[in-house]
Order: sequence, then structure tokens, then C-alpha cells
Amino acid sequence: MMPPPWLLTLPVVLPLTFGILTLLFPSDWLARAGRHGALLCAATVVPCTRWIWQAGSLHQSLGGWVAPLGIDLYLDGMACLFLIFGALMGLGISFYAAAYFPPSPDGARTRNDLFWPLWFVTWGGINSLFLTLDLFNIYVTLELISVAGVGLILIAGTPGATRAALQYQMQALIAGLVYLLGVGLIYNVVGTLDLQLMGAELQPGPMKNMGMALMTSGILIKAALFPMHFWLPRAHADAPAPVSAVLSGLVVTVAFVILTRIWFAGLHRLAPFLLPRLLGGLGATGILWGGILALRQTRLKRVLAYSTVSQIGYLFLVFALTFHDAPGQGLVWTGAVYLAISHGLAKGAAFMAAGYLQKAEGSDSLQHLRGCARKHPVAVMVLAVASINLMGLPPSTGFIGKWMMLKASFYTQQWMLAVVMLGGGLLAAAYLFRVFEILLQPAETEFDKTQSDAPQTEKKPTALGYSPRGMLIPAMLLALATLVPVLFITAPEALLRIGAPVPFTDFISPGGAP
Amino acid sequence: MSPGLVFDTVLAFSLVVLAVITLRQRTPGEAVVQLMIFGLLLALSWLRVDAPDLALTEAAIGSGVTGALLLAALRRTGFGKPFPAPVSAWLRYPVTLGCAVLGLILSLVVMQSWHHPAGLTELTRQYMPETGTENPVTAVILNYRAYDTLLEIGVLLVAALSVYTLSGPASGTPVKPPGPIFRFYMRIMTPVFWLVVPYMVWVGGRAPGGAFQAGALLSGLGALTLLGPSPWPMRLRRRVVRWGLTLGFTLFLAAAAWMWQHGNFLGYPPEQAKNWILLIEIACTLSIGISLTVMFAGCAGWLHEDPKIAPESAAQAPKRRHP
Amino acid sequence: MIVLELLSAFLICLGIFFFFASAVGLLRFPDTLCRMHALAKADNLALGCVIMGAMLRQTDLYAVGKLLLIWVVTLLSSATGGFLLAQRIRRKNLALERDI
Repeated sequence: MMPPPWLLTLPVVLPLTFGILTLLFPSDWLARAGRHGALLCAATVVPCTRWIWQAGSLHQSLGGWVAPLGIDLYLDGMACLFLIFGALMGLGISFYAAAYFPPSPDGARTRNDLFWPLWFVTWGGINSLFLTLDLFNIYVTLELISVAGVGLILIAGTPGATRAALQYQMQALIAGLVYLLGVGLIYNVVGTLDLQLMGAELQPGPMKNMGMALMTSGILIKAALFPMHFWLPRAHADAPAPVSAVLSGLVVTVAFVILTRIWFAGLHRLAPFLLPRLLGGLGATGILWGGILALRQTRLKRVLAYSTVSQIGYLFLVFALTFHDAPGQGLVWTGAVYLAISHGLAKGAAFMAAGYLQKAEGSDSLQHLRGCARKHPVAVMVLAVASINLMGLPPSTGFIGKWMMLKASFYTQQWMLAVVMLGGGLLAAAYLFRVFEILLQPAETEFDKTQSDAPQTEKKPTALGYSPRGMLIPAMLLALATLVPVLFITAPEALLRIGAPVPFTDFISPGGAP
Repeated sequence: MSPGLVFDTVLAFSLVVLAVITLRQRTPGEAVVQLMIFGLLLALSWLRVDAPDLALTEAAIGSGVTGALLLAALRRTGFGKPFPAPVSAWLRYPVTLGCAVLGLILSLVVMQSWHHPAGLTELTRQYMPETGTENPVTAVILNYRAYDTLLEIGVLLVAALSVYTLSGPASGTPVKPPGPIFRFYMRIMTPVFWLVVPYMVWVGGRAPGGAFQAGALLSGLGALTLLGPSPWPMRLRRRVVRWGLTLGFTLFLAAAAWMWQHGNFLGYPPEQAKNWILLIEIACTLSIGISLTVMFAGCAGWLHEDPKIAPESAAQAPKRRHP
Repeated sequence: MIVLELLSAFLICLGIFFFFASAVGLLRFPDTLCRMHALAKADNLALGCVIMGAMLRQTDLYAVGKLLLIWVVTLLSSATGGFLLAQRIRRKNLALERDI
């Protein structure tokens, strides 16, 4: 069976096309174009999934030039699972944004209109990153996403957002350059940019090790792992809510996916003894540090942003746990993928709910939101479902992922990491319960006061400029999506095993039964 | 010591010195000028390692366009005002030290284990006849790895859009009309630009040149026009500007997808490759020129969008106070 | 042939001398208007000499034309740029300001 030539490129081409179209369309078409575009773009995942389910993993060479000369796209279980994740996030974000950005009063173009082209281009770039195998192509696409990210943050138009965007741009520049330097070194030795080709014949050497270390650190800056997280809270908290969902839910995940791709394509054999341990240590520190800072924030979106810093830490434990072909790599890796996906969905939903509260109440400061659960029960409900995930409580995908990683840390006897993972869960519970404690406070007197303040409350609905239902339904669906895999957990796992870069051996501990 | 080696040593040394000088300038205006000189010397060093395409791009974009953009931005913030606050010593010295250590390790590693790069030069040459171009650089950019270039054009489009998101209410002062001499200059130079830009695109097929360099040149014309007596407004509301910005990306994407019928994304049939590449290059040149001009206008503060924009800030200010 | 070679080498050396002189002038002259004079020397005289020297070495008439075009364009741009700079200095009365 021959794959159709568009199979792997359509998930990239279609969002890019909608990026162009939404730039050219008049302002009052945009919300509708965004929704329809999102549906179409998400639909491109269906043929990919069908293909992989029936025929297994797939290579497609772009331009008809096979790998060392050209660029290869590669669809395996992981890419497919992340494409589905991207489609879910894309749908949620697009529908949410269509409700979030108020239509301009007289059809004139506003700055908000630029959200659509920038977002669709970002989506296309993200899909491309899930599929690509080429080190330089990764660089170009990362640049695309970063530059678009700067524009997306700037849509907020506040001085704070401008500063955040500048910082974001700086980190993107530095990260990009460091990564590119690493690629240059590796290319010089290996003579190819294709990950699978170079993975087959990699022997350690000073230049390759250096290249690997540089590439890894470049991606770590992009992923905002602990000491390089300085840019994240501001960028993610000061952007408009749909953009926060894009950056915190999707873009950070993408950086992790790339590093996994590079790492497990065989380059992890290059990594000197220290590097995996270092990544594990940084991840562990990040979990605790992000959690502690999240406890001290006074704004809801800041809490969520620091929670992202903390949750990213978990993802990077995977590199310490699969260290030197330790047994049970498959399990750890599956766990990290689950964790990445569940965190993306949950954080996207949480930011959407926070954006809704911010719009409805005029601010996202926790002091200001005191007792607002009564007025906005659905939004707080979304936050709660997302929080179940972030804390890693049982019915969520986050729990499954953490459980798998925890199990692996026991078997590889990395007790410290296990303790940190458990402690991080407790910290997450602490900072999220603190938020709920404030949101759920009775605040009777406040509430009565606003009720009696009749003229003020009556004025509000006319000046809404957004649709609460349109914002909350996508957020709720995204949050609920994190609970779905629990019902049929075998499907994503079977998908992940197709063309997986790590062996799926079970633990066989020397002492006997696990 | 051969004269070449002497020259290279001097060049490398002056690059480092210039970089340090650039970093140590007191005012942004001086720093930008130093940076432009640095870019020119860097272009020279690309020439020394036999990469004329890179040299051309570095001179045009790294020095010319970047310098123009920075200077335009300085128009708003002031050339001669000293940098607002020096970076704190706590940050400066560790960062400097870190960079120095990294540089040292890098050069040690490279010097220790440098062997002849195992690149793809041979392979590139082998398939040249099928690429529809005689310049190996163009072959890589627009045929072998055209996907990268497609996304790169996307980066430029997105960068121009990001500049639009920055444009607030009018802030830049309008330029004074530049007088008859400038008008005379433009009358002569505009045709010259329109002669050189297509030449640059065309020559890319067999020698250094191509869409990026031609686009940078075109943006030079754009910037000059913006300085002129009746600047061409670059508002995003203008349909011409929007179409111009997207033309290259649209055509590239459409051409790439059109090739699905031949079996491969971006896989031009060898006998048509030359025409497709030329078409894409022409469209991309126009778009690159317009994108860079938009950035120039944005930096100089000439992109005012409607004041009607309702930014997020309106929603962020707390409306009521709680005791 | 030898005569041409020699002439070309002489012209290029002369050009380099003028470049050097104008660089010294740029650094040593007291104010902006004087420095502009030094710069104009580089664009007109020095570049002109170098280009004439290079033209003598070409066998291709086409390349000679290109070199000539480079010089003409530089002359035009330098003159216009110098004019704009001087105009601005006059408007802002910066000429008397002896900085550095």
C-alpha cells in the first residue's frame, strides 16, 4: 500500500494555509474562519492515525530527496499521539479564542486580528516539529514558533506584555544560537543532519559530546527547565489567555518532544555520564522551586505559570531514569509522554479558565477573585478538573504518567527522584488548594454588596464583548480530555509502541519478581 | 607565514576587538555603528572561507538591513542618550566568564578533533543536473532543502506581523521633506534598484545571489521611499501590503502542495525545476522586500494602527476595589 | 600588458593611500562637517582609484561596466547622504558642537 503523498505534509500545510487566509480575510470573518480552520486542521490527524494503525510507521522524503541530502518527515506512534494532542489543543484554543477576542465594533482591523495568522502558523510549525527528523529543520521551525510567540504575547498590548515579549525574544535568540552551534559541531563530524542516519553510527568523541551538550542546553532554555526558566512566568502570565494556553500547553511540550527525539535517536549514548544525571537533578530542583514560587504568587495566571515551571521538571526526569539503557525504558518513556500530554491539556484548560475569570472580574489577582466560585462555578470547575491532573490524582492521565515514572524510579533505585516526585505532587496540591481556598471562600458580604449594587451589575452584561459559554465549553472539554485515556488506556500505549525509539522490556529485577 | 594567514589573523583579531568595542559603547547610537562595521568585517571573513553567498547576505542583511532597522528604532529612543542602566556586575562578570570558558572549551575541542568535514558536498554536486540550477547554494536552498526555506519565509512573514502587533498610536515624528537633492537622487536610483534587484534574482541561478539578497536590496529601496516626500503607507489595512507580504509564502506553499500530484511535497519534476524555482524566487523577493520595509517603518514608528484597538490592558485594570 | 599591470597596481595603491588618509581624517578632524569631507574623499577619490585600477585588469567589457556602475552609484549616494547629513546639522545647529 502506497501512502498518499500528502499524508505527512497536510498537517503542516493546512494550518499554514489558514495562517495566510486569516491574514487576508476581513476582520469580521475571522472568528468563523478560525473555528472552521481549526476543525479542518484537526481533521488532518485522522488519516495519519488511520495509516499508522493499519500500516505502521512511515517515512516521507520532502522534495523526493532522501535523507542525507533532503529532509525526512517521520510518523511513528509518538508523533501520531502528539499530533492528536496538538489537534485537541488547537481545537480548544481556536474555539476559545473565537469567543475571547471581542469582534471589532465596525469591522475595522484591530491588533487582536493578528492572533489568527500568528496562531495558525504556530500550529503548523508545531505539527512540523512533531514530524521532522532533521536537526536544522528543527532549528528553523523553532525560530518560526518563537517569532510567532513574540507576536502573540504582544497582542496583549500592555507594557508588561511588551517586556515579557522582549525577554521571550532574548531567550529564543540565545537558545536558538546555542542549539545551532551544537548542530554545526555534530554535522561537521557526522556529515548528515538526519537523526536516524546519525543515530546508527554515533561513537562518542569530544566534538560530538560538545555538540550534544550544546543542543541539549539550547532546547532546555526553550523548555524553561529550572535555572533557565527566568523568562517563562512573565511571558506566560502577561500574554492574553489563549496565548498563554498556546505557550504553556503546546510550545513547552514541543521542546520536550524534540529533546526526546534527539536523545532517543541514539544521541543519548553520546551523553557523558554527567549529563543525564544533571538533567534529572535540574528537573528535580525545578519541580520543587517552581512549586515553592507558585505558592507565593498573588495572581492566578502567575500561579499557573510557575506550576508550568514545576511540571516541566517532571518531564526531564525521564532522561535520568532511562540513563544508559536502564531496564524499563519503555515504561518511563510512556509515562513522560502521558505526563507531557496531560500537562498540556490541563494547563491549557486552566489558563483558559483563568482568562475567563480575568475577563469576567476585570483582574486575575487572587485577592480580587476572592469568593468568585459562586459567580463563576463552571470556570472554577474547569480549574478543579485541571488541578486533579496537575496534582497527579488518580482518575487523571497525569496520575498514570507519574505512576509509571515513580515505578521506574523505584526499580532503578533512584530514591531521591521518587521522593522529589512525591513531594512535587504535594506542593502542587498545596499551591492549587491555596487558590481554591481563596476562590471558594464564602465572601457573603462581598457578594451581597455587589448584588445590592444594582446599577453596576446591570451595566455589565451589555459591555461583555465576549461569550462566556464560548469560552468555557472548550476549556471544559480540554480539561475533561485529560480524564479520557483512563477509560481505554491500552489504545494510546499501543500507539506509542509503534516505531518507538526505546525498547519496551519489562522490569526483570535481579532479585526476582518486581 | 603566507600573506593569507597574516590577513586572516588580523581579521580574526579585529573581529574580536570590534565585538568588545561594540559591547563597551556608552550610547546605543555608537554601538549600532560599531555593529555595522562588525557586520562588514564578518562578511569579509565569510569571503575568506569561500562562502560568497554568505558574505553577500551578511553584508546586505547582517550589516545593512539590521543597521538600518536599529538606527530607525533609535530615532524614537535617541541616538546619543547613554544606555539607561548598566547591567549589574553580578550578571555581567559571570556571563562574561561563562562565555569565555565556553569559547575556550569550544576552540580546544575544535582544534583537537577537527578533521575534514564529512559534509554533503559530493552528493550535492552529483544531483545538481536535476535541480534546475547551477549554483549549489541555490540548489540546497530551493531544491534539496526547500522545506527549510519555505518555513524561513514564514518566519519573515511572522516577524513582520509581530512588528504590526507592536504598532500603537502614532509616536514617531514625521520626517521633514528632504528637499530637491534627495528627490533627484531617488529619480535616478529607483530605476537602478529595479535593474539590480531582478539581476540579483536571476544571477542566483548560477552565482552568488538569489531571493534573500535581492529582497534585502528591495527593502533598501523601500526604506528610501519611506524617507521620501510621499511615503508609501505600510498599514496592514492596505490590501496591497497584505497581499505583498504574503505573496512569497503563499506561492511557495501552493507550489509545494501542487507537487503532491508528482508524488512528493516540493518535488519539482527536473525539467520544470528551473521555472518553478525562478517563480518562487521572484515572489519571495517581493515579499522579503516588503517585510523588511514594514519592519523598518515599524522601527521608525511610522506604523500607526487605529487608535480604536481595544487592548487587553483595558480588561486588566481592576475596576473595583475590595477592602 | 606590463604597463597596464603596473598602472593598475599604482592606481590601487594610490586608492589605498587615499582610503588611509580619509580614515585618519575621520578620526582626527574636529567636527562633523570636516569628517564628512574626509568621508567624501574615500568615496570619490579612493574608491575611484581602486576601481580604475581594477578596471584595467578586466578582460571583460561587461565587468568593466559593472565596476563603473558601482562607482557612479557610490558617488551619487555619498553626495546625497552628505547633503542630508549637512542639512540636518544645519537645521539643528550641530556644526559648532565640537564633541569628543
